[in-house]
Amino acid sequence: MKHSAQLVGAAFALLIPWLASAQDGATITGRVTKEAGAPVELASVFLDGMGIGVQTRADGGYTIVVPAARANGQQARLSVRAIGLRSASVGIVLRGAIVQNFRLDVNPLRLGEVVVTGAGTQSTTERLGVTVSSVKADEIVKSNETNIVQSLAAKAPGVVVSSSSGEPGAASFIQIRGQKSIEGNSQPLFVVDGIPVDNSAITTTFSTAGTSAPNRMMDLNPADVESVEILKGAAAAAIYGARAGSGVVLITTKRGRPNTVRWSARTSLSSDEVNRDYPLQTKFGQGSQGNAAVCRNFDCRLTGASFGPELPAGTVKYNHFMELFERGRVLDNSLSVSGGTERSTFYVSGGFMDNSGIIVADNDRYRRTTALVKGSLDLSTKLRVGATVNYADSRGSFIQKGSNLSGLLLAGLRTSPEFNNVMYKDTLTGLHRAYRYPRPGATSQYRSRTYDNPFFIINEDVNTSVVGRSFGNLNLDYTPFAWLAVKYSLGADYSSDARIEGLPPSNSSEPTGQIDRANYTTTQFDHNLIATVTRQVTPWMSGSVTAGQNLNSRNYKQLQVRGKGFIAPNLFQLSNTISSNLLPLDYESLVRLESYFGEAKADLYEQLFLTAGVRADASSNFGKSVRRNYFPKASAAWEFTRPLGITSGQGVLSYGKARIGYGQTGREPTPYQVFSGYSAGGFGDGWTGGLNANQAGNAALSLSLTKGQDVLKPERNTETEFGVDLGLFDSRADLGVTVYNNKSTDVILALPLPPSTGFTSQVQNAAEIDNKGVEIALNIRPITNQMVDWNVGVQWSRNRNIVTSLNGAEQFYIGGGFVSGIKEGYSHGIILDYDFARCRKNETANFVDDIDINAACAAAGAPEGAMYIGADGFPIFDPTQRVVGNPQPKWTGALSSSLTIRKNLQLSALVDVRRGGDIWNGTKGALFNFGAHKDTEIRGETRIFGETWLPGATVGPGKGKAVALTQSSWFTNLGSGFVGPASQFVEDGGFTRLREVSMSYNFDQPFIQRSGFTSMNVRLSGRNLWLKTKYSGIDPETNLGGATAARGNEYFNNPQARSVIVTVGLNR
Amino acid sequence: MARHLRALAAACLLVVAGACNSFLTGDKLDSDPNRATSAQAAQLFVASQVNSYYILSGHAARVLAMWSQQMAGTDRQYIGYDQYSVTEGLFGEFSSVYTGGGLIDHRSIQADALANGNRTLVGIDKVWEALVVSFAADNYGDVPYSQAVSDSVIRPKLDPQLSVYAALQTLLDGAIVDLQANQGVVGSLDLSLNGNNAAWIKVARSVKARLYMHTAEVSNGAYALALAQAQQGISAPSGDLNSRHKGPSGTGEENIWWQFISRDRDSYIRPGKFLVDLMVSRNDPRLPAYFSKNAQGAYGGAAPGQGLDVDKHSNISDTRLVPDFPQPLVTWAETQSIIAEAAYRTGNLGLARSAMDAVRADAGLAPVGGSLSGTALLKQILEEKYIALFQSPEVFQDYKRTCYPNLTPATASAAAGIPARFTYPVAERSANPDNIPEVGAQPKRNANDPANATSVDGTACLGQK
Repeated sequence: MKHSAQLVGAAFALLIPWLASAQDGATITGRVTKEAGAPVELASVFLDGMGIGVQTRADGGYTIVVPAARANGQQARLSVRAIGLRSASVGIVLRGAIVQNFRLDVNPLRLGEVVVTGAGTQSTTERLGVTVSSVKADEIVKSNETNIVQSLAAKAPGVVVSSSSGEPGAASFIQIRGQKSIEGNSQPLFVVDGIPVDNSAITTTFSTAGTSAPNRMMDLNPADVESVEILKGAAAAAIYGARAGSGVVLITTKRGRPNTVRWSARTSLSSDEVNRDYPLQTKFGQGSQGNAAVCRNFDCRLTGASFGPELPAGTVKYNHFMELFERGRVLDNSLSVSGGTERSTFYVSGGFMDNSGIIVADNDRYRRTTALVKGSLDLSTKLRVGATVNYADSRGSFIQKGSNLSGLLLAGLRTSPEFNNVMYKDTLTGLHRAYRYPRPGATSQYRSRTYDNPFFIINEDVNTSVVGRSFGNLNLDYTPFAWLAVKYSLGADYSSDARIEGLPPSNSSEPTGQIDRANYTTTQFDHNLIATVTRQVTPWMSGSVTAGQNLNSRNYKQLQVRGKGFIAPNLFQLSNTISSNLLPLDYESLVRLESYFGEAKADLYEQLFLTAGVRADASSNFGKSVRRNYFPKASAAWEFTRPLGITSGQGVLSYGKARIGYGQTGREPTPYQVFSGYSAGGFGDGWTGGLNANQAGNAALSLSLTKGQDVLKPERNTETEFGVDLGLFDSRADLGVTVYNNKSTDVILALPLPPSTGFTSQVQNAAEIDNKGVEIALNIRPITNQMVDWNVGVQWSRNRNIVTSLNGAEQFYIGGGFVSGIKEGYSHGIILDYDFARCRKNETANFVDDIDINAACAAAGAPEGAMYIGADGFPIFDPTQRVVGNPQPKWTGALSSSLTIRKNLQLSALVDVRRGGDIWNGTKGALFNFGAHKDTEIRGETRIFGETWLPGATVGPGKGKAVALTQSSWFTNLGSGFVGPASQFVEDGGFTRLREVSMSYNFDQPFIQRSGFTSMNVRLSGRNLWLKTKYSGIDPETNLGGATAARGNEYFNNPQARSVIVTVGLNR
Repeated sequence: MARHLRALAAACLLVVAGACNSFLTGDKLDSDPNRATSAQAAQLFVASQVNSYYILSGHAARVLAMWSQQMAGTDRQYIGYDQYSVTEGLFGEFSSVYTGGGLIDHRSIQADALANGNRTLVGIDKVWEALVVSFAADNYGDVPYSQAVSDSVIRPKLDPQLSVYAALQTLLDGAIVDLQANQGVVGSLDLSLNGNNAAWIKVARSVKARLYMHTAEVSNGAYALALAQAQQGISAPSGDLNSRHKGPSGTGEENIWWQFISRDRDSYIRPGKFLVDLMVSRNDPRLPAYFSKNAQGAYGGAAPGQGLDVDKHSNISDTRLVPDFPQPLVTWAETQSIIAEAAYRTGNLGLARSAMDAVRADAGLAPVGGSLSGTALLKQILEEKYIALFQSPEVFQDYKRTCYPNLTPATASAAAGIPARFTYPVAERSANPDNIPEVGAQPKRNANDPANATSVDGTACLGQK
């Protein structure tokens, strides 16, 4: 009754406005619904230009109260905006009680939505002539990832994300539209709320050994993220100039809305386990040539091989892989309160995440405590000030991995099946025992075990990181006139990472004990000032011009000291080492960037949208004579369905936009590459610890291996992209297709010099790389009604990467991996190693061991690539280094589906496909050598090369000959990863995985609401539950070097996990 | 922090383009704060000696010791290397000869020392230069030298091996003149011989003798030249040129063989069966100084291709396998052995016998020279040298020249026999393609080293083809 009275009153007020008193102000109420009448929650309803607005409640209802002072019966425009729906607005007269309901059309293409486009600029979706992929908060939450970078996996075509392992705090690597640099950072620039922030992953000692390192974006709590926009191509990212060569990821954190107070609490608990077993043999014991390795006395050193006799029945055998793992867990809690008054907003949140990993005991752990405080205040209708502070305290504890005598799987998987690793302390002496050193004597405290016992590694090593991170900004929005907007932001990002990497005495890497204590400090300041003038020039043309200045300063400091020779055995302090053995490894860099940029936009006839701009960068990293560099861009978007009269979103073709973009971006050289110099350091042959250059108390210097360079420009990417965005079948489906062609020139290369020149390399703008690709995203909504809302998304992308020029350098290895290299005419990061002798028609001098292989092939009519089998029945080693694999995927795709039933129950799944992409299975090669791999169980049996072993075409005198594969004839010979060619261990790393699956129910029934909440959400989800791959090792989503461009290296890397997660969220 | 803010604040006031130059220059922006921009000869000299130790007693020395069957690979890659599975990526020593710590720094040291009147340092450094460059010529054959480390040459050409040897003889002659001038003090900067001019002159003579021996197969008169130099060479074991090391582990100054076997790569390498059996058959008094006993209390060597077997395989002795063991580089024993062989080759059998017996006497063995002549004497001279120079890369150079001991190749499938040279490293080949042939087109043997059809004893040479 009361309700209808209001309605009558409102209608009355509308009909006869003059009857209402001006002193009463105005009250606007209403409800926002979408197709089939479903309510729209969290839609923004606001009065244009008055700074007054609210968000809708769960039932879609809203109420706006306009104070009397501002409601004097004038005309105003009431607008509503909601994600995924078309915006709407209506003119009203501000007086008295007003009822205004909205029914919004679905807006699959997100037309009219504001998109941030970087450096303070923004646009709306339909105006974009370039691809910007958006990832929304709910998609990030559904991924259950604690690392914001990893949560982007399989969310946008052309964006490839890989985690380096399943350990807590392991870095994730992200790459957009292919690799464009050889030495430079190949990951995108991360910008949070307009401020560039650090996403480096610093490894304490070695990237291929040591421990994994987090990428610093892990310091951001994913629960605080409202949206992520990915600027993929150069045309989109050019506004960031020389820092945008690998794309830009723009993250916007959540904020409060005026005139509301909301809070939400969320807790989730994840149960994790290792997702694949490892094939190990358990038939044969420790020993060599069939003879058992017997330990006769204290401190005996045994062979590491499992080529001993067959173990008698009844021998206790161990699974040396699974015994290292247990059930891990992640506890992730967050709480946020947000809201605002008419003139101010606030957002406050706190998060706590505790991840105890899947390795036994609790030394694989990552804990993160975060806080975000954000506020804004309108000092006047023209001036708004805002500030944001993010704080994170991240504490990690890691386990040694990789190519490392103290590495978990290296030691674990090589262990003979009958040796009990769990008892890692000798019962008699209490000292470290390992399978190659089973009886430690009383004086063996400072002796190597050859390999550490994996349980010693887990329990006794100390590898920790304690990070304090703070980043945020102070910003001003000043709108002196309706046509002029000025924005200023001053941001800062600071992190301090205190590390310990400690190996106690009797470890095999440094038996006397070794500790690295390090402190890494990164500081970044960013000043960004822009002014935008917007004008409606004629009725059919409007436009804007933006000019801006950006100053950026980055400082990195590393203070690292290594001490060797522990005094007390388990005290991880530098002061507990023999002081003469301290080795400092300090480093510092400072980079400054000074930039100006401008951008002009024109909208013609509300259907043709043009953008052009340029950025001028000067960096302290550029060579002096080439200090300033320009990065232009231009793009156009044309809504071609508008001239056809299609504006309603109906019809088979309900919307159509064609777009084309051109742009250039760059990549700064790394600091100090332009200078040559002398360093102390040391000398070695890679097989031993080496000798310091300083000897007998004498100071020493030697010339650096890299020759200096006076002229060094930034790397430059020039990219053209074009595509279409289509709405189809009454907007029930939408399709976006983008084709791009990127050419990277002036790519910086430590161009190899012949060592006989005295230098091994000189940094030059030498290389060229092409990336060409296609990205397709298709979303279909087969059913949308009040009962069922079903969405299906498909995305597919392909990138072809070719290093087109190395300016004369033939081939070389890149850092971060063991077998990753660069060769002209091949993809970046190809696997470079050796192969068996094969028919290679295109090679003129295919002689191996003085045999003319090609002649033999021609005589026998053998096909290209046929493996040459020597007279003894074995293949022969070809000592020429060549390309034996390509880790880049052929294509990547994802299929996602979500089904919402009766608004409250939601089921969703995401399948991630990566087709192709080779991995060097170095683990397998090593385990062949030790007779530990399952495949070595056939030792002593006969096989025929090309038929029953290494199948494929063969040629040569021994073709078809059956040979016995024994320890000496094969597994420690050419079949060993240490002796034979790596080509035999290169495998297809493609996979199909169920990356995410979840079922959630949203309780908003009256009984929930009576308890004081608006809603309660309960979700059960799985992460990485199912994996299909041809790869025979651990999960192929792995990388030895972590977040580096050297992909496809697997060598005793720590494995991946799968998880089941329960999440409960409470909202009000 | 305050500095950043001030810089930013200053820059903020200058919104006009181009007016912010000071923002991009200054401390830590105009130079690398992490590296020295210049170095003194003394500092470079210390580093270059360390680099030389690695070239002459590191990975390459271990591989050559396996190929001469003094050692055997018993684990992983070393099993392959022992059986001649070598690739063009195997040896970093080639680079070390030329880059920082190598030839490019030797040039700076000599120029700087000369400018400062320290001719002793010039002379000592020239001997080191001769040692590392001859290492390259010995093992790779034709190598860049005349055009190496020149600022103007991007792709240095290969000099013929014999011309490199000739240039090194000239260099050593210059070293002797510099050392004889006796100007300037080096002292403890000279890690091995404490700046002793007289000792270095003898070392230079011994190295000259060694290099003449390397050319003896193809150069008439080389033995006579070698003999003349060796007789002025190192005259007592106390004058040996050794590497200098210091323990314990962690100092960064430890013996490289010790680092490899005792600390970093235990199980990769063990004494070779051929050498151990030979010494056991001679009941050689050096056995305990060279080897420890195996787990069964006997001396045993590893045959190629076997994995480590502690029951059968000895290790290197605790005398030699300690962090501070000085590794012999150029020795009195080598010099005496050169005298013995060169005297034999030039017909002075009396001198040949006495020099050989002097080597034996130093090892605690009775003289045998008096009863020997002809091939038997030459075999004895070479056998004594083979044992006395244990672990020295020079042993392999002698094998290439004489095919004695007449080693049976480690693997039957070695179609080309025992490798007679290293493949040029891929780093040099791929960056210097005009001058370095593809692997398949590289020579099998070096110019100084034609294949021997027979060993010195007249039997067919088993390992050289």
